[in-house]
Amino acid sequence: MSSDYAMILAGGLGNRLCLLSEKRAKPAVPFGGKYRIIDFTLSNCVNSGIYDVGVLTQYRPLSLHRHIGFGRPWDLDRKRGGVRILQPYIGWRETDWYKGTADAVYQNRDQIRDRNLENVFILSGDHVYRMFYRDMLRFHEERRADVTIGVVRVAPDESKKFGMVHLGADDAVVRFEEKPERSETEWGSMGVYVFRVDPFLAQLEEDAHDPKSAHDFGKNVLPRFRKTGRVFGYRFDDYWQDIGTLDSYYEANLDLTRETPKLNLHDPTWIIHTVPHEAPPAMIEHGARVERSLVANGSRVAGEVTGSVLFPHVRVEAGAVVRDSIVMQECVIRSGAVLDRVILDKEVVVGKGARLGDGDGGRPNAACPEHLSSGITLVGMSTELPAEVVIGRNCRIGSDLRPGNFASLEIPSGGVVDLGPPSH
Amino acid sequence: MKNIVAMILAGGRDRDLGVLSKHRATTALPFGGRYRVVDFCLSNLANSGIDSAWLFTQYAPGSLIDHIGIGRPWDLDRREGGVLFLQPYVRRGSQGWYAGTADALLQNVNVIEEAQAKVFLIVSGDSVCKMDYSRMLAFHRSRDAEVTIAVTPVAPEDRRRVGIVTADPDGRVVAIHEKPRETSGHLGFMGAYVFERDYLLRRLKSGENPVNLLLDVVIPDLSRGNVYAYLFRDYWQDVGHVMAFYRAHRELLSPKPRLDLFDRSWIIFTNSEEKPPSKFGAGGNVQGSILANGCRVDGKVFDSVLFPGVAVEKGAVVRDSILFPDVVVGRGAHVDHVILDKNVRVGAEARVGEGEGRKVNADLTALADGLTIVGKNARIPAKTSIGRHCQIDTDVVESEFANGKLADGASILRKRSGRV
Repeated sequence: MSSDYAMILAGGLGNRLCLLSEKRAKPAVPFGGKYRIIDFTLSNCVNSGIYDVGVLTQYRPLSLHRHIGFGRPWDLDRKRGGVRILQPYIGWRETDWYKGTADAVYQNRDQIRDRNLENVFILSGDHVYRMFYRDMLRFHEERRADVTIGVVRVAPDESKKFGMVHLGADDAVVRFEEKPERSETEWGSMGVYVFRVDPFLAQLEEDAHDPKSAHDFGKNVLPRFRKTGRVFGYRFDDYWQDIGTLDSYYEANLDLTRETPKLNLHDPTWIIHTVPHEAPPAMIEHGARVERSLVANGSRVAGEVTGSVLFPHVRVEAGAVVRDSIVMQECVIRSGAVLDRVILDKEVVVGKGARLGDGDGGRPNAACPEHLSSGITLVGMSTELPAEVVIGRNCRIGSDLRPGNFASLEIPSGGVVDLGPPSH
Repeated sequence: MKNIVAMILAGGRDRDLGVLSKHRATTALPFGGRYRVVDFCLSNLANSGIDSAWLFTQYAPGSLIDHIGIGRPWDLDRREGGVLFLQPYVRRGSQGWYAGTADALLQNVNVIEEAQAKVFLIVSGDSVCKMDYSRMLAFHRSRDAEVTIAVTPVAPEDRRRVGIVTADPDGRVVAIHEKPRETSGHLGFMGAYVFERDYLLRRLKSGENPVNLLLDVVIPDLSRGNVYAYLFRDYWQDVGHVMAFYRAHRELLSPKPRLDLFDRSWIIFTNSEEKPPSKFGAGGNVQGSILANGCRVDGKVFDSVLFPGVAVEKGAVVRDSILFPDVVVGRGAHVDHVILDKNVRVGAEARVGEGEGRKVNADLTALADGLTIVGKNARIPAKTSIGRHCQIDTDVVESEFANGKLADGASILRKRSGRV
């Protein structure tokens, strides 16, 4: 059991999560009322009996480092194995920032080589799912595979976001398509791999010396493998969600508030471990209304909360309304404020009588129309919104703003409020 | 703080808690929607900078030992100091069980002698308060005392249950009357002491074989004039009585409770339950209540305390009640003025806490205010009606409810387990 090793790729820039990943790597983005996205992969590891984990970080790693620490919540604080953060470092060669996913692993190949393993798991830190990796390993061993790729069913219009995997007899991979507009197969790669170590290290070496390679698993390493080795696809038929966009982030969170969510957080046999919050139970005061919502410890609700997710230590004052929204920890919604389809990053204060997600304006966001066009309004961390401000839909309100930063108390749909350019 | 060891007296069982104390010492009793009573004491230590805690356990220590483990939540997992459980054990020439607080110390006198501490803080693990022990220690030093005891103003009705302390203006203790029938004093002993090491060892080994720390060690030596009273004015509640326990929870639900669990400057740490945020269904209605993570509410909950993992199904109504972890209240069931211990199942459309409540419970006269209590793991069958002031034993199963009804003041107690 102790000989299994997993590397989690957690360096992702995740710019499609807009402000949420502005100050943190995507795997560190809060999720589900008390977790962070990487908790799901870390918990999958320990729930699968994998207690030796390396986390490859690069972009804004601080909040991830703080969160993982030395791994206590996952029982990963161990003398042998445990969790180790693998941040790029300046070494004896021209070691550099990771150029791609394969390069990140290549630069840490000693971690794999020195363990003398048969196989190694390479996982992604920005997906939400519950998976018993040991089943996949058994499949991998039964097929005597060099690589096994976890694959999930992908809706036809989603294939352009995925590496699509064509499966033949015995689930051998016959062809890859990288992000095709349309595909003949419904199976897309989850970014979950088991590699046989020897051919894997050889391929990484080859890839590292290929000047034309983008050093990406999907684009470069796997196609190369298919030519020389035994590559199989392991069909995973359960809930799996890539938190790739703001819309998918919003939808995956709000799904948890539904009667029967796709992701069961209550299963005592599959606990999602995270850093505990040390908060008292939530207080729901007289006159409050809370329905179809998740409320974490430490929150106090005197107003109305429906269809929403409240992280720890959120306060919703009497007369405030929170509808179909995600409110991260330490936010305060003052009396009379109304939120509709809003994501508040942590420590946001919404002033009295403010209205967010107002009207039905459908204009996409002026600054990032590609991420904010479905009606969600987003507020960055530690911003204080002035009382009585009216903010439309698809708005992006930056981090660390004070009421004085708002030139107007009316921000129409699609609007942007940011701190001015930093003065140097 | 080095040089200080805290001893927590955690062995006691309070019969006034009825079935709630059947499987656990009072110290291990759930409290405040998420905690156990001992968490307050351990968190006070952590917040006061004391990193060495000995727990004197005796009665049903299992759940306490499980809960505390190596003391991680309180940063007590240390190489030096940390947590030490002192459970009575069999040895030559000893009677074994602890006969009282002083006897517990005396049986471990070798451990005390080996400790490097110069001062011992000894506290009862059966009460709830947020107390900065470092202030009490500073007071102790400022008076150059051999013993300091903590006192707090006590309501007239509770004075017969505690030691009443009289002190002079400087804090020197003049007299202590243990559980007096009548008294003019109002300062009650909180069960917390600071002892100078040498003094404590001398008194324990005096040859008189003291049994009770207050009665046999402190009171007989008062005339030396070196015992001081430290006045604590904040919230303090002894919870070793079912009504005190119930009323303390009622107060937690008041708009401005004296015990503020939301205070970020004095966090109460506990063993994390690792449950997801609580889930509120459509049509659910929760008012004036506290709920810990992992609850699922599809029914109505008014003025109640829900510990982690409680489920209140559709159409169920919970009023003025305390539901311990993992309780399930079935569809359409009503629960009113009830404490349901861990993992109790209330069947669909059952009524628990129904009727006038005129009769007293002969097995547990402590029950008042219409309160009914149900022991751990009990199964209440669907459509059963349970009156007020009732007591239902742990692990009672459906077939033990004779005719679908339990009258006011009645009990279902399992014979084999003896008197509760």
